[in-house]
Amino acid sequence: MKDLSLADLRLAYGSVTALDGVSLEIAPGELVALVGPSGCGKSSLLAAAAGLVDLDGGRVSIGGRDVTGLEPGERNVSVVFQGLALYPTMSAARNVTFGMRMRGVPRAEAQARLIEAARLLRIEDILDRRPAQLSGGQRQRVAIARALVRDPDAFLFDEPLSSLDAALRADLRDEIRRVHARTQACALYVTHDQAEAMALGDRLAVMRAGRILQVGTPREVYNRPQTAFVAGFVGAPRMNLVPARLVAEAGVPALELGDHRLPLPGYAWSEPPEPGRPVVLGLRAEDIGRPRLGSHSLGAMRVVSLEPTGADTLARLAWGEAAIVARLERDPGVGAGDLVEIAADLSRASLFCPRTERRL
Amino acid sequence: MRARRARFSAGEALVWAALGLAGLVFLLPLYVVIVTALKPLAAIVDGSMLAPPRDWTIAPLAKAWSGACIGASCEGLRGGFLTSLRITLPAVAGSVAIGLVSGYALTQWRLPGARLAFALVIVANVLPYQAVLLPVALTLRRLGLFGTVEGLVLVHIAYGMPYTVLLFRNFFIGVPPEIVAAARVDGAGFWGILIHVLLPLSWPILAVAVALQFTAIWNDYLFSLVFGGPNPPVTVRLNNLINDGVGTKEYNVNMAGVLLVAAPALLVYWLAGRWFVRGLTLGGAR
Repeated sequence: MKDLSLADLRLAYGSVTALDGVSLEIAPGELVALVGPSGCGKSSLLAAAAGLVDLDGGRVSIGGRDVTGLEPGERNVSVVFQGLALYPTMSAARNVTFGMRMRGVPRAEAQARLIEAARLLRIEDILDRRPAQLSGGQRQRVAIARALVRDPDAFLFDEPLSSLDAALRADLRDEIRRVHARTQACALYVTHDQAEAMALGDRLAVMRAGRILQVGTPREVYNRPQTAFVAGFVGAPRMNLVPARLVAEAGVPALELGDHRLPLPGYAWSEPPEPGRPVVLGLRAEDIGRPRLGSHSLGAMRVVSLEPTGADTLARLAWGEAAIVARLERDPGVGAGDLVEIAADLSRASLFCPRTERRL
Repeated sequence: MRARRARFSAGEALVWAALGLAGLVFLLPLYVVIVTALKPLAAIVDGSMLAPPRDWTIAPLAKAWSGACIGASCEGLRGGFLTSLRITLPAVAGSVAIGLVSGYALTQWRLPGARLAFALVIVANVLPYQAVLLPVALTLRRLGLFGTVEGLVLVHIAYGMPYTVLLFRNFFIGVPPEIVAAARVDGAGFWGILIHVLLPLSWPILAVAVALQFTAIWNDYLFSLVFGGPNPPVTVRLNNLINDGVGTKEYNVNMAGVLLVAAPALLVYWLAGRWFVRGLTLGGAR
């Protein structure tokens, strides 16, 4: 039961900064999902935790032990890579036991751990096959088994499912959750898929341009994104971001959007509202819809297009100059071109500064 | 849908004809060498060059091996074979081993100065040997290795290395870095990764490197002539045998000598052939 602590990590490849002072604490048994667009430095962060890159600054510790200068093999971490990382000339069994051979684990113990991991991941029948003879899902199971037999202090997952198709991805996601819950080691799970991150992470860390922008439970990050980038990145469809102006209406802060005035009596301001300043209003698609109790009318809007997801319908609407997406019911009974009355739940609104992109 | 029956089109016929012709052109000299080496001298003087031997004989082979006279000594090419083997085997092993380790280090590890080292390798690959004869001669003299087997081993390792490094570098650059990263996490070090993980992948390219290096070093004439000393490799002796001015030209013995000298390299190609074509495409060899 050890924690993983990354403190002020810095890494540059020539003139490109990959990690710009990143700190992250992962508690024992916790799984932190790290998301961000490609090139944001998330894989570099994982490589730094694993010891696969030489840092320019910062400290990595596992269970209080400083491992910054240690080789990957000396850290007692396991890494599951995206793909292609199985040893191509070895059987699945040899792939799983290779690390134990390298570390001099007695043969009988290695065999026992192999059998246990193989049973847990249901790969007993394919242990004598080479990676080339395995399907994508089987390969990833073997890779997870290889990570598991080490009984690591920290699991590091580097986009392990991104090369698989959607159905397999959902299966293996459960597998990873199950395996991780059993081991109770801390885990860092890197992915570019925000839905996967939300589904797996005890907490979510969102990264951009070598920095972590926000860390929190999936619900916190989804409901209270700390920057406009996080708001847009986490959640599908993307959060609607609409420029507006802050005003005061009868002493209550409100938003001015064209002809509309939207009062914000309950908003949890992180700084005192300043009437007159421009803001960006962020609203989730599911907080926009037909008028109902507690929602505030946004007026009539033209339906531009409809996109049924099955469970509900995403409607693209023209709101003055802006285009927004609303989540309507499964059978909304409207067509493209229709005018519909739309209202929003403003208690769920987020406000950002258009210049700094920070939450207000 | 039924598979279309393969049928010769005019274009395909042309390709096959061209290939056949090219094959003929390449194989004809070998054919002449073989048939001439197996004829008595009289049959060569009287008959056609292309005619197969009527009275087969291995006497020319035997004579080229152990009886033909080069200058005053009449011991054939036998002694040169030993010299050539003593040079070629360690030089092939050395240049291939250096290429393997360097190619691996250049692609899978971050080394200071790796780019410069690789640039030098490229330059070394286009360096004409004639240009380095004098500096190499001076260096060997200073090392006390001029005219020795060890000296030629050193020269062949040094000048074989740029090519093997390039060959292995081009091969290892295609190995996904995640494999090496996984092995590092599994606790394998620099040599452990090379031996346990990468070497088992490398048979095709090893076969290519060994075959090419063996051929180049075994067949080398320039370095052998200049640095060969009093007990030169077989290529130098073959030349001396053929250009010996005294007496009748024994074409059959000369051809037998050519056949003997060419045989080891041909044998190595044949043995490596299983992996050779696959390795060539993997390593991007010239």
